[in-house]
Amino acid sequence: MNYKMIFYTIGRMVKLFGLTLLIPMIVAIGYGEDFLSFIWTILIIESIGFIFTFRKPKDLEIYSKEAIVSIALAWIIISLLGALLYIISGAIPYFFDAFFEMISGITTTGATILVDIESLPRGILFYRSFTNFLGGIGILIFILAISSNGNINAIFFLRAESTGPSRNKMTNKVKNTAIATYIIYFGITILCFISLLLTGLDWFDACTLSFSTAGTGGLAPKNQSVASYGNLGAEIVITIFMFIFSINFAVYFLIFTGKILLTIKNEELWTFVIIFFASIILVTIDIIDVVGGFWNALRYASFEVSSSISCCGFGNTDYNNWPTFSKSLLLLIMVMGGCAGSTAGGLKVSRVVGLVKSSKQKLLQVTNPRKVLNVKIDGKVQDESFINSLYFYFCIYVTILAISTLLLSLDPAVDVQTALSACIATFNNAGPGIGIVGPLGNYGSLASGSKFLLSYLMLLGRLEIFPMIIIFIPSTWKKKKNIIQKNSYDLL
Amino acid sequence: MKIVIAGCGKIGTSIIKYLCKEGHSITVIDQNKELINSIINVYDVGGVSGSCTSTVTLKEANINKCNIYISVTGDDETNFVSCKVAKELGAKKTICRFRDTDYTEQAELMRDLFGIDMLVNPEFAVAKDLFYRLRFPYSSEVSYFEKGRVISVEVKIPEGSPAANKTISEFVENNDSKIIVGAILREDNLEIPNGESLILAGDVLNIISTPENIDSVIKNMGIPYKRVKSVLIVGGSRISYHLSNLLFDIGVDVKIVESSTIRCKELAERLNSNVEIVQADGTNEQVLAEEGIESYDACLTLTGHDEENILISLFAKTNGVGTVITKLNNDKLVEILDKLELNGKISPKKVTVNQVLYFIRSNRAKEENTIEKLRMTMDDKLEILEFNVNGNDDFVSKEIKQLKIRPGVLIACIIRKGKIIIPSGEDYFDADDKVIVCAKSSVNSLDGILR
Repeated sequence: MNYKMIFYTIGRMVKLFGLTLLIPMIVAIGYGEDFLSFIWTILIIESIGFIFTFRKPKDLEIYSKEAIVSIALAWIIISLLGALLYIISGAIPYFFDAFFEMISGITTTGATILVDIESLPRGILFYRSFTNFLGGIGILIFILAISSNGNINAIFFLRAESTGPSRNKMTNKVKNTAIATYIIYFGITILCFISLLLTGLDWFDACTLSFSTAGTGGLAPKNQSVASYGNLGAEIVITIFMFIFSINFAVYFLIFTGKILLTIKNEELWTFVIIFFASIILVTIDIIDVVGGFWNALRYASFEVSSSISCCGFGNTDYNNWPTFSKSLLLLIMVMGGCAGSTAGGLKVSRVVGLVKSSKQKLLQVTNPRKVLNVKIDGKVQDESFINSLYFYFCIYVTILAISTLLLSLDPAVDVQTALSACIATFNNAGPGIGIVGPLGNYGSLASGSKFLLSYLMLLGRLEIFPMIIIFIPSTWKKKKNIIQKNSYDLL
Repeated sequence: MKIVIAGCGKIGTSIIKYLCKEGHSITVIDQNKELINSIINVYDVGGVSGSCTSTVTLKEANINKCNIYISVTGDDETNFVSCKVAKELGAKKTICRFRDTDYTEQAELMRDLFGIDMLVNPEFAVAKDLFYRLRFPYSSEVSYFEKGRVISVEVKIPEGSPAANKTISEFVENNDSKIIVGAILREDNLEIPNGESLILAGDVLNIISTPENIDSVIKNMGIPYKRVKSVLIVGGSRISYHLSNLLFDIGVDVKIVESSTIRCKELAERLNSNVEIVQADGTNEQVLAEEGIESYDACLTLTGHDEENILISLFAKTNGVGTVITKLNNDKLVEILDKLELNGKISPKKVTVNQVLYFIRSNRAKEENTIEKLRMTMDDKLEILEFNVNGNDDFVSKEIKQLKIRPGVLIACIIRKGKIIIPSGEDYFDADDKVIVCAKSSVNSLDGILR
C-alpha cells in the first residue's frame, strides 16, 4: 500500500470538491441569503485538502488496490465534509440526517429525509442538486481530465469510479477519455437546461432540475418533486433526458466521432431501449383505470418508468395507489438500471444481458453436458472469467440486498414493502421506494441507524460494491507491496 | 502523436513503456487477447486483438489517423507485410523490425519495396554497441556518434584517482585534455556539470570526446585498462554473428562457443574461417576452462537465457577475464547483476527502444534540424542527442554565450565539415553543423534547448 499516494489523491479530490462549493455560494449571495456558512465549509474543506496534499509523495506508483481504496475513502470523506454545510447552515441540524442527505446527493440516489424542502434557502437547495451533478460522473474523473499526462496508472482510477462490468476507454488515453466524458456530460446537461427553460420554468428550477437529471439523482427543490410544477412540457423534457443519461456515454462518443454504425451493433443499447418502451406500454395499460384516461396513463407511466430505469427518482405522481404489478415492475427495472458507462444506477443492462445469455447457455449445458459454452455479446465471444465475474457480482449484490433488508426490518417504523423497496431504492441509487418512502414521501421518519445503513448502501451502489467492501478487509491495509503484481509489469 | 504498435513481445512492451511516458496516444495490436488485456491494464494505451496484417484489425486500430506505425512482431515477413498494408491504409510513417541476417544484406531493397521509413535490426544494433564497448572496455556504456568519431563513455572515478577532488576545469587544464564531461552521476542524482563542478571518487562521469582523447584522459584519471585483443563469445546468436564480423575486420581474435550443431554449421558457413567456432555446451565450466577462458581479454555471454548468461559471466569473472559483458532481457535482473559486481551488461530491448524513440522524437519536431541520433544512458537519466543544424534558424552564427540555454542542457560537441569542435562560449552554430547535446529532460529539437 502506498499510503502517501492515497492521501495525496484524496486530498486533491477534497480540494477540488471544496472549490466547487463556490458555485452554490454565488447562488446564495445572488439571492441575498446567508453565505457565511458556505465560506466556513469551504475553509474547512480546503484546509483539510491542503493538509492531505501538503507533501507530494515521491513514489507515485499506485496499483489497482490503492486506486480502489483511495476512491472509497475519498467518497466517504467528501460525504462527511459535504454534510458540514447542511449542519453549519442549520438547514439539516442532525448529523445522520445531513450525512444521509449528502450521500444521497453525491451518489445520485435522490432519497431525502427532508419533510419541508421548500422552506430551505435557495443556495442550499441549489447545492443539493449540485451534489447530484458532481456525483454523476465522478470527481476523480475530473481530476484525471485536468491533470498532466503520463500517469500510467490512471486507468485504475478511471475504472474505480465509472460504472459497468467492462470499463473500456473511449480513446487510447485515460486523460482524453476523461475529457471526452466530461464534454459529453456538460454538453447534454446544457441541452437539458435550455429545454427546461423553454418549457417555462425559471432559471433556478431549470438549473437544479437539469443538474439532478444529469446525475440521474432526482433531488428536486420541491416537496412534491416534479409533480409540484404541473408542467407537462418539463415532465416530457425530463423523461427524455433521464433516458438519454442512462445510455452509455461511449455511444455518444461514437456518434460524435462519426462511427454510428458501431452503435447499431451495441446489444446493450437495444436491450435497454426495448425494455424501456415495453415497460412504458405495460405500465400504461395497467394504470389506465386508476389514473383515468390513456393520455394521463401514458404521461405518468413514461415519466415513472424513465425515472425508475435511470434510477433517477423524480416523481410526477404518487404511484403508491397504482396496481401492484406496476409497482413491482418499477422496482424490477430499478434493479436493472441503465447502461454501463452512464450516470444511471442499478445492476446495469450489460450485466443483465450477460447473465441472461450465459444462464441460457448453462441451462442448455444441463441437457447436453458436451455443449461448449458460447456467450456472445456484441458479436464477440466472452471468456469464462468475464462471465464468472458477472455471477460473482450478482451473488454479492443479492446477498447485500437480503442482509440489508433484514437489518432495516429492525426499524419499528417500516413494513415489509417499505423495508425491501427502501433497500432496493438506495442500493440502486434510485431514491424513492414504495410505502412511506414513496415518490412523494421521504426517509425522514426512519431511525438514525436505518439512515446510516441506507447511507452505506448508497455508497455501495454508486461505487459498484467492491471498493466499499474492500476497505473493511484487513489485508488491504498491509503495508507490503503487492510484489507479484509489481513484477508482472516488467515480465510481460 | 498517434502511434500504433503491432506485437507485444519483449521489445514491443518496452517500446510501449517508454512511449507512454512521453505521453503519446498509443494503440497496440497483438493476436493474444489476454496479453492485450494485461497491457491495457498496466499502460495507458488502447488495444486491438487480431492479426496485424489484416485490414480489419488495422482499421479497428484507426490506422488511417496514425502518425507512426511500428511493427515489432516476432516474424520478419509479418512485419514487412503489415508495414506495407498499414501504409496503404494511411499510416504516415512505418517502422519495421527484422532479424534475419539475409535481410541485413538487402535492407535497402526491402525498405523501398515495402515503403518502410525506418528499419530496425536490433541484433545488428546490439552487435555494434558491443563492438564499441569492447573498444572502450573501461566504460559501462558507450554511445557513438558520427560513425564512431565522437564517443561518449561512462566511467567510475576510482579511489585515489588524480581527478578526484578537483573541479572539472582544473582537471582538464592540468592534463591539457580536450574532453567534455556531459554528466556526473552521484548516488542516483544526475547533474549536468559546468567547469566549477567538483569530481569526487565514486562518481560516474559521462565523458564525450574523440576516441584518442578519451583514451588519454582515462590514463590520466588513473583507470587501469587493457585493450581487448581476443574475445570469447558464448552463444551463437545473430548478435554473435554480426559482432564476429565487426571484430574480425579490426583483427581481434574471436571464438564462439555454441551448443547447437546446426547453428554451428550455419555460423561456420557464413563467417570467415579464421573465426573459431566450437560446438560445446557453454554452461559447462569444464568446456570453458578447456577453451582457455582465462587467456581471453573479454568474454561475452550472449545465450538466450539470462540466468545462463549470468552464471557464465560469474565464472569468467572468477577466472580473471578483464572485460565481461552479460546480455540481459529482463530488466529486473540488472539489480542482481550490480550486486554480483558484474558491471558489463547489455539489453537488446534498450538498444531498440533508443532507435525507435529518436525516430519518433525527430518526427515530432516541426523544424528541419532533426535529431540524427538519440541515446539514453546513465540509468535513463541522461539523453545524448545529435542534431543537424538548419541554416534558417535565428540562433545560427550567434555565439553560444549569447544564447539562453535551458538549465540541465549542455552543448557537448559541434561537428563542422568533419572537424570536431569542443565548444567554448565563443563558438557558434553554423548551417549544416552537427551538434551533440546532453540533456536531463526530453528534447525534440535544437530550438528546444533554448529557453
